[in-house]
Amino acid sequence: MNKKRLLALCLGTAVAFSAISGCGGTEDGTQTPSNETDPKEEDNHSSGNTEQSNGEGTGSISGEVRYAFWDTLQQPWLEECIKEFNKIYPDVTIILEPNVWDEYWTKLEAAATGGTIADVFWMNGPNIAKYANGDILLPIEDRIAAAGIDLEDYPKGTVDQFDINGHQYAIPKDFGTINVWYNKTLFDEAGIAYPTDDWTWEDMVSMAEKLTKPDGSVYGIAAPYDGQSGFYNTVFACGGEIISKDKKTSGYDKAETQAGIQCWIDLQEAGLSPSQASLEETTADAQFLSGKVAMAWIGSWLLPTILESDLKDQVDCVEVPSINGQKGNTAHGLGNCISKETENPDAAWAWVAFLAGEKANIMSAEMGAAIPALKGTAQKWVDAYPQYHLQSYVTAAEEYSYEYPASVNTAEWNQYEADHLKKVFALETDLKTAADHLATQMNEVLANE
Amino acid sequence: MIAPVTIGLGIFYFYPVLKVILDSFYHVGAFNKRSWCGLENYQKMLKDPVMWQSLGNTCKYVLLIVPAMILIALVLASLLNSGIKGKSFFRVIYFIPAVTMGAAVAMVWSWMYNGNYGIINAILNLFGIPSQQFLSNPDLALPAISVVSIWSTAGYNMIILLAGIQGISRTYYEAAAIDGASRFRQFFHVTLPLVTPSLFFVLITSLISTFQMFDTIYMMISKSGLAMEATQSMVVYFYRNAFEYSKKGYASALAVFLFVIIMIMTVIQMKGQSKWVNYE
Amino acid sequence: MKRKQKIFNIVIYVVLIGGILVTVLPFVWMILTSFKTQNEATVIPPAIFPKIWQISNYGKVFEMLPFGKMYFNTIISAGVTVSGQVLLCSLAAYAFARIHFPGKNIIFTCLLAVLMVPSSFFILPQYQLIQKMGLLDTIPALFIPNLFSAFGTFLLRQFFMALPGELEDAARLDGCNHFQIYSRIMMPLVRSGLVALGILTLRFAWNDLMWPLIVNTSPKKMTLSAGLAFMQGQHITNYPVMMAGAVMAVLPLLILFTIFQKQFIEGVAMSGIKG
Repeated sequence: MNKKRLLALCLGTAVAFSAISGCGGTEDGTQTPSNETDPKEEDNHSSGNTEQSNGEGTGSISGEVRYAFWDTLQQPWLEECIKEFNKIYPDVTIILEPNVWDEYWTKLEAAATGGTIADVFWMNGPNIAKYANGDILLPIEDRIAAAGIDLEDYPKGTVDQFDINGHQYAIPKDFGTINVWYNKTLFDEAGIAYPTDDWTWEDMVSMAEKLTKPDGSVYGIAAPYDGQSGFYNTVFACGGEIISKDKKTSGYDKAETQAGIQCWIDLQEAGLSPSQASLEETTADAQFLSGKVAMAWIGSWLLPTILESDLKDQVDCVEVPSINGQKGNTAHGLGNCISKETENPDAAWAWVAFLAGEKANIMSAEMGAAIPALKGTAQKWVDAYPQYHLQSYVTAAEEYSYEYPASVNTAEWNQYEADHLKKVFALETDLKTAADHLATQMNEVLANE
Repeated sequence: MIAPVTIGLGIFYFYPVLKVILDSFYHVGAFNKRSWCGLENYQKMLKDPVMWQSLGNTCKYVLLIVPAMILIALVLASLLNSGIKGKSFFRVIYFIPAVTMGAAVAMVWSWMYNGNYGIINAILNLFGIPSQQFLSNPDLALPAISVVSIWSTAGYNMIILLAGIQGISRTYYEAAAIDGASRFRQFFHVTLPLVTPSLFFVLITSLISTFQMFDTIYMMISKSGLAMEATQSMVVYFYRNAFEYSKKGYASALAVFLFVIIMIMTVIQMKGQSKWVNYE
Repeated sequence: MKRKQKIFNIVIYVVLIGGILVTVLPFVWMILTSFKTQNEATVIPPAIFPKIWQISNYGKVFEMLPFGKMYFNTIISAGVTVSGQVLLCSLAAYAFARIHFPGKNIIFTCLLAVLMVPSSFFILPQYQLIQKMGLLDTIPALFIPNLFSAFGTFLLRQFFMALPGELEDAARLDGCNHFQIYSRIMMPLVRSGLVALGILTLRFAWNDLMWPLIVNTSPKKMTLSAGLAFMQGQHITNYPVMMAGAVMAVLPLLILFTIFQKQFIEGVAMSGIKG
């Protein structure tokens, strides 16, 4: 038994060792010059349609690249991307590994620990620091420079979010903002005018009152416990904060922050929204798209769901309402990261660079997958669906967006947020007590970072 | 000949026991970074309200599920043994949930429990009862899960009890019949005492498996949902610490604690069995 | 008296048939839903039967997930677990029951001790072992720890113990060694025990959720159980497609059960008597 275990251990360490020496930082640096041409070529291709000269450099890159992501709504777009990508790199096989949001981070961490992490994978603001500090990610600033990719062409907030201790670990892929969708049929039935971009929170409440049917068949609005698509936005508008700028203290004990949450609780108390329990079983967007809810705050990444819905011709969207004259919006960008342990850093980089390129971004826009990050391509996303007022999402990003609240151990205090605030949304406890308690716990987590 | 099993059990079962105990004295964080922390995990555990709540939930499951399930299984088994026609047909149907994947069972029941479109709510509505959010209302979720668990295990245990009843020698019943005992009396004076070995087996196994409930809760309750705290069992809480919060050291301490509880429970059962179990 | 008997029988049938309805209805509802459109499934009040039977829901499962691969993984993992466990446990059980060797009692006591430990206790180190062996996210990871079973060894030992000793003596006189006695004489005699263990293991291996959920992360390496959990996490839940997936996941074992119902039921009953 000892022998067997010893063997397994030896094997394990040997594998780990070879992986480290195979793609350690310095060696990569020296390797880049020889591969320098490939990504550039790819860039040319993506912008300048299919030319023929893909022979020399690109053919030498081959192998498999496993790509992990959590939003299956983007799968059709990614499949198209692979087709285009293989025109340039015929010998690279991209293997899609879709996952679901609920499981993604658990599995990614398990895979990172076990050495089976995908070669390229999605990364977001709340998790980047943890993975960068955990030495899981391949720094790519040299490759970015060598490929001539200008990071100025991507939203600055998102680029900075992926810059940890002076290393760039990801190129932004897309970003998401929030607006309000409404059901035109229900508005017509209630005989009220559609909301406009200059509406206020009070307007929204009074519309919701008129739209809510006493028999419970239709609610005016959905007020679920939801940070990114919900109260974070109003907290920003009220001048509060979730986490301080220096990421050292929680903002939940601030009066402004609590005011930004209280307005949602008021909606629950007034009976204008399905209960928190109901919204947990069937999400706000699903209830909106089945006509049970007349207005809902929805992230831009859900556009594919709306386009597939039976109600797609009865709905439209508008900017979030202002509170006390202010608007707030959580802009949250995703990026593609490369695993430090990838056996095939060149192929992995080729894929990342392709996804950062114009072609992939435009395809993302036209297929409605997500708002692409590359400058100028967001407009294409807006133009692709003229039936909706999608400009409201882009305006939010440009005019009143705030950074997604995150620190090193975001997941840990996110858990506390959910534990405490869900009960408030379910009207089981009062906001002040819960939020103050939450702030204390969150400060403990932050102090240990 | 015993080598393969002994070695395999050694590596995959014996060593893990030691490893869990060892790990419970460490902080094991993200990406397996570890540092010695002495008894800190245990101290934290005893002060952790969520742990106590999940222990409480686990006890509630045991109290709701085990007696009801055994009672149903026993009633069905003795009815099936009363010389009715179509016995094997009934037996087969009742056994079906036992060969059905737990994940699928959970899926179907969540669908039936659904607060907006579920069939159970539709039936309640027929009687003028408003729709309930069975799986997200913290007060209803635990009983709702218990029902599913009873549904899926009663048939299996019924088979074991039935085998026990059938093993009772005819002569006892004949003697009872000569004494003029009614069927009810026969049940209480012959069947029940003589089926106690099977009952004991069913009791022990269902206690242990209920203590380790996982599939149904994991599948039916939304992860960070309102009802999670009110429904998660010790094993679910252990799983979440080990694989979701990446606190493997703390999870190990929870595992040790769970083990101790199950041990104590089993010892009590074993000690108590001589008082009520009849071995012929 | 006769009359009383009759009423009594009617009551019994009513109770038993009621039980059947409760047992079967979830399955009926699962199957009916699996043929509806999403709109039909979410209409209030619910429609009992689909207007048009949507067989395409079953195809959609294969679009959403590598369901064919999951079938394959589950069959391989369950097949290897069952045959491996029956073989290894019967070997050990035979030795424990029939052969005297030094240290036997100590080893057997250790084995019984393992039997007492709740299964979730092992999961974390088992996971770390598989991780160290570099087997995470592979098919062997699904079955390796399950090849060895203290329970199986214990159960089969009971069967071997029950066999008369004269058989062995006669075989030994004919010049058989332990392996020959085991494979030619003993194994056929404990067939019912082997079948019982095989069926219990199959039931477990086909349906287990936690272990496959932990060790294998990519959909192509998942079992059906984990696949269902994965499907449930999808953002917009398409209930009919989910039910179609559930139907397909439970069907193979149900079919096996219909064919071998006698063995299934006897196997379970036996575990109660011998355990």
